[in-house]
Amino acid sequence: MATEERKTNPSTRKQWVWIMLMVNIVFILVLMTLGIFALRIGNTLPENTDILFIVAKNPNAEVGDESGTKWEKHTKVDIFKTTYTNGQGETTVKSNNGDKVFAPGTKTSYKFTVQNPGNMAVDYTVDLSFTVTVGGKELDITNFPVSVRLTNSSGDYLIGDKDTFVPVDKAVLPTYADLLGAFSYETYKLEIYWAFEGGNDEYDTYLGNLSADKDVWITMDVDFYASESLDPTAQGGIQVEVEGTKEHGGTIRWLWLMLLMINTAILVFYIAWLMNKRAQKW
Amino acid sequence: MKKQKQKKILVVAAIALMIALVSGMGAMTYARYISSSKVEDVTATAAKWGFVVNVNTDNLFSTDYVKGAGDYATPVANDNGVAVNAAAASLAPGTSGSFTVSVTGQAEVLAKLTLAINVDSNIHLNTHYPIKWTLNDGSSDLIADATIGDLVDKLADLSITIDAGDPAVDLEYTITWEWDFNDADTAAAKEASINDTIIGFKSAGVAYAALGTTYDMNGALYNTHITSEQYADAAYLSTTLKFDFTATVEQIQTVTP
Repeated sequence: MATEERKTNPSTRKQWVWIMLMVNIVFILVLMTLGIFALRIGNTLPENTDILFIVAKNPNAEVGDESGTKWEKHTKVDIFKTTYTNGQGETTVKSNNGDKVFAPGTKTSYKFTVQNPGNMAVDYTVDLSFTVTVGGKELDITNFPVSVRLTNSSGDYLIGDKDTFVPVDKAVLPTYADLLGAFSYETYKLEIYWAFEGGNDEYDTYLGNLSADKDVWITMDVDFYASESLDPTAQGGIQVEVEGTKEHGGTIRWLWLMLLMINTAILVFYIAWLMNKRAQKW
Repeated sequence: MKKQKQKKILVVAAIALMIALVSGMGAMTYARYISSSKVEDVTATAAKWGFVVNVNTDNLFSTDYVKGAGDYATPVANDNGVAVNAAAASLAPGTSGSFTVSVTGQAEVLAKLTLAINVDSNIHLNTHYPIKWTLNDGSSDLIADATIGDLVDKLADLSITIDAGDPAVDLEYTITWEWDFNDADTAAAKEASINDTIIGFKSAGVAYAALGTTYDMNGALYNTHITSEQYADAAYLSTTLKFDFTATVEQIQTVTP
């Protein structure tokens, strides 16, 4: 009986040693994998950001324009004007009552910048919509003589091209979608145009006469949506230089280091102990 | 024994795998974040266009004479204003007529008012043009007893630029034609009257031969004033007044042409 106990206990103990050794190795591998991941994105993160297991919760996307206006939930911006002039400085259109106006031969533009000051990539969409109302009732905008064009800072035409503006009834689709990398921005220029020789003077005159009687209102809305990108390290837009490449991380990162060190020490201890036991011949 | 050992190894491997998976999932877990903003109600009105152009031709060919079947004055509205097509072949010395054109309203765009007359045919015998024109702006005659050429020039002067946002305009012009009776006891009046009579002969379809048997007020035969070739030449002797008049207001892009 005593001999059998002596035979089973060392064997069982040896098995558990191997098991714990395997667990220790796997745990170290997992810690290293997480460490590699954290190192990959660590240099793009701002100081004092706890990282490693959960990507920092500072994704952000905001829109602003040249006047300094930041888009909020319900933002009013100046795109149309009360007065327009030609290349010779002559006034060609002038509002009688201070309302913003638009007319054949007028063109206006609006620049806005989409910024991601956060530390991970975001997906965003920009959606334009136009409505025309007469006396409070919506008018069918099919063949409405106003057109738009959208370009980015690289000069790429996202709606229309260098020779073409797209009518507003067609410009609402497709919604423009793109991605902004961490600490990146992109600037867009929206141009709105009512051709002087649009090919339908009769309709233009009709709208002008109608507006004299009931006011023909052109209304534009721009919706902006942003969400975290599935790949937080994705690149897009123009990235701003981030100072320094030092490592970041706070409590969680120290915890990771401590766990790695402890497990490494345990591994070393196991190996040394096993070698010793081997020499002593179990 | 061997099976127990394998079982233990499998259990450990499973535990290790679970640890690895939980750790990995922890690394990948993050919540979606949504940001949205909106620029709304960016509005503008279509610039107002409120000009109205009217032409009244009721008195162009008046009731002072018997209007012929070929006499007409047809106003035609278009996108930019009004055009008048007029013609008359039954006019005679001592008759007159007029038409009025009015331009009212205002606009929020730069515009140009253009008044123009184009004469297809004018009553005349050689250099004798008996129809005289007067242009009145509602308060005074801008030209009086003038030739059609003078009228064309004066209408061009009245073509103006209306600045965007200017106060409403209220313009009315009356254009009058008149064929003088030429009954004054002067040599010029008598000569004009002789020419008018010859024009009347042609208008009435009188054959040239009759001019050889009809005497003017000076006792001379009418055929001494004009040859048969001239009598038959429409370029030399015309009995029809035909013209087009247009009044337009249109948006322009620049004052400087």
